[in-house]
Amino acid sequence: MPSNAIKKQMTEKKEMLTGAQIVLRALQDQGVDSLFGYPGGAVLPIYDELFKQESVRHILVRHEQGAAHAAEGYARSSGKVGVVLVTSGPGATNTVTGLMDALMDSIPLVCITGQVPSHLIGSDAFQEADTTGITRSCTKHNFLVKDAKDLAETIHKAFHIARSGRPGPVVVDIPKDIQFADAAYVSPEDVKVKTYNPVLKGDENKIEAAIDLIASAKKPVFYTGGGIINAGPQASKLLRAFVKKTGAPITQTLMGLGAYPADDAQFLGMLGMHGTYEANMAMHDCDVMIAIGSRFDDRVTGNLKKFSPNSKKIHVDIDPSSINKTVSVDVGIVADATSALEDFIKVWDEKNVSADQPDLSDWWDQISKWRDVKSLSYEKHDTIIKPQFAIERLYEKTKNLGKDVFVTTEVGQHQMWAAQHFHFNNPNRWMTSGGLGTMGYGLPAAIGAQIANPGGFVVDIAGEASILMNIQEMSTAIQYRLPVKVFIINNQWMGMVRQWQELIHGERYSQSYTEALPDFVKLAEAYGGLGLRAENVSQLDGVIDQMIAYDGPVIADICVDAKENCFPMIPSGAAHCDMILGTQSNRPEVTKEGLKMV
Amino acid sequence: MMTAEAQTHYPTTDGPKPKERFYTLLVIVDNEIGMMSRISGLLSARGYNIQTVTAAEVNHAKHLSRISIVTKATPDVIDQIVAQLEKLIPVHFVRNLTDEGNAVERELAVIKLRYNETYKEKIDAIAAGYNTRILEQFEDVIIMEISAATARVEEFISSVPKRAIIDLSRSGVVATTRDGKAIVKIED
Ligand SMILES: Cc1ncc(C[n+]2csc(CCOP(=O)(O)OP(=O)(O)O)c2C)c(N)n1
Ligand SMILES: [Mg+2]
Repeated sequence: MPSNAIKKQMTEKKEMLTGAQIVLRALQDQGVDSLFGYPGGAVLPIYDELFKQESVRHILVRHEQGAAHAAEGYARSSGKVGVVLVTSGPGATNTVTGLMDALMDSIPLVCITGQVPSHLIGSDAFQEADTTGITRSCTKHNFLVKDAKDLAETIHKAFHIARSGRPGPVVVDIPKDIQFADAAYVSPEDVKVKTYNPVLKGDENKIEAAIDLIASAKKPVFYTGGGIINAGPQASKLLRAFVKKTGAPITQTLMGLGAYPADDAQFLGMLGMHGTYEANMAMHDCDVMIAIGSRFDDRVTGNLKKFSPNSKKIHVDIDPSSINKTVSVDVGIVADATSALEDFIKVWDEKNVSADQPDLSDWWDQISKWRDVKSLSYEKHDTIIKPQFAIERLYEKTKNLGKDVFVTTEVGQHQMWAAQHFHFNNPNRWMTSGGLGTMGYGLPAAIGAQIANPGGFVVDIAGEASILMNIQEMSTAIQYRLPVKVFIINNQWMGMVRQWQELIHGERYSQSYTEALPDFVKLAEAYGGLGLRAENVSQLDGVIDQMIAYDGPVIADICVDAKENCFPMIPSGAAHCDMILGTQSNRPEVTKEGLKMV
Repeated sequence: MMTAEAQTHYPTTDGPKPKERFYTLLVIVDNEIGMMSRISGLLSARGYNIQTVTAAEVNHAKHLSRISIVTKATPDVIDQIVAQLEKLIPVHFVRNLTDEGNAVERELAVIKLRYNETYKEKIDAIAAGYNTRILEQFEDVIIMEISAATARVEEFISSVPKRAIIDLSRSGVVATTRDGKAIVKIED
């Protein structure tokens, strides 16, 4: 049934387009400049329209999973919606990991999938897959377009849903006959999603209650997450201003890094399983916790029963289901982070809280004692490259490049070391697979970030195992002359798996060693890029310099200490206050319950 | 001050378990393709304990469906279920009738019984005590319906001799509120 908007359009303008033309027109009207895709039979009409125009640039990936991660990197580094275009059946199923990744990390994506023609749906046709069925649980929402008249409206709705509220991936499945059918076009302004209007402004009473709590706190701590990044750069600015006003310490989640500057004195570093000692201890001992855009993920909280036992908790989140999900809070505020922070600052100033706020110096004294533990320290070596050292050098050599630096990662120890040792002072510069932990995320995400930021310096801090999961995207980087750098922390092991086996499974290294790795230098060359290798400390700086200087894709194979472990660490099932430090020789006690955790 | 135990919703093995009870939820939702699968997929993916789900379109012009869900949960978990359901894009709103405290609930059962010399008298006596209706009767078979609150339906079924029951079909719970207001408009 046509909506009123469509009826109006049909009577007023009667501008008829084919379904494929509608897709392109809708993308243009949504301000899409680039999309990531891979053609196939069920999307050929759309590819035909792409061919005839120039405003939307199509980036041809080498695997549809790559398209989804590239769109994620594009979205997270630009604040815009990432767009994916793939064919039916295998094209669609190949995007599933990327969609799930985007759902977990709240990344706005619109994924357009071709579908077999309407009359063949349900007949096990060639390259038919129940795309909306398969993607129902890995998207924020999905649509199967059954009538060309609904197509424009559906695409606009998809963009609205993807980017508003808690962002996420939306699939639009378009049967091939719909791509050929004629229908009227509808502009974005004429489309509303009746049932979806996320609350942006927090309840006034709760804002006041939150300020009263913060005002009385003797041991406050901010715990902020990816929601600040998603709320846009203004949220980061306001966060900085508010944290300064309160004088309180702040820790950020893996997804939140960069929202508050890492170099600021009030920043305690990342928290959670591989977070700093001071961040986790502050969380454990605080009397008031201010969680904004963070979701009490199990990697962050450790053992829930021992999580911050004596604190009053304030939680700001745009997703009502995030509040009181795993941890009950005292003040839950459903709001966009920008709006809530504006309100916090306003009420703070109105009440002139700063004037009679408790003295926080005892709290800071305690924190400086925790900081003295130097939980991120590691033993340096004269010749063997320690992985942490490689990342430190990369940071030192890129921090004054005069370009925006964007870091993506794969998943494993290198990811945690990157989070610990690379300093992020601005939002939208750090892209990592947090919720799903997807090996193979980093290279395509780097490609997406480079497309969105042609002048930026983009590096994927990778593991030698993870990089092989989407290595084919080197070919994409070459084709589009994207100077992305792949900085492989090569320990020859699935290091994070090896670490758990060492610490928890009696040093039985089941299948975590890669017997046959490719020669990454030759591999880079085979794709048409530059390959570099550093085997000892004396070669490291030179390789980083060469990598930076080369105007094209580079794989730098950094051969690091194979058995280094990532510390500090909260063993699974343990509390924030039971961290293992790298300097300790003892092994963690893992409880029976802890063993079952991942 | 709250204890650490009291703060977590899903205590592992030790610690007091929060009390579970039955809740009746009403979900008003656009009746579009895949809608039921969205709802049931969400409930199963998150491991919620669903007793009954019934659904039907109640506003044909606007294609609005009304889904009644009965689920066993703790107060924290029911809030989470409501929040998760409300997150679904086609869902207009969710009402927790149990928390609102004014639910009128009914369930329909259609029961096929052996109505022979052995059971006839017993069945007649039991049926008289409930709001039952005879739908069909032939040879020594009787088909009855009962419409009542779930507990009454359960009670009726368990008082009928087990061996007399040939077939049993139940609708699940449908509900409204004990007031003069609409949950959802049924026309225009
Ligand atoms: C797709 C996928 N499969 C499996 C895993 C489980 N996993 C987590 S880390 C890891 C090892 C990664 O090895 P590498 O890329 O070399 O990184 P390192 O830990 O050595 O730095 C594995 C297998 C995962 N996260 N993702
Ligand atoms: Mg490795």
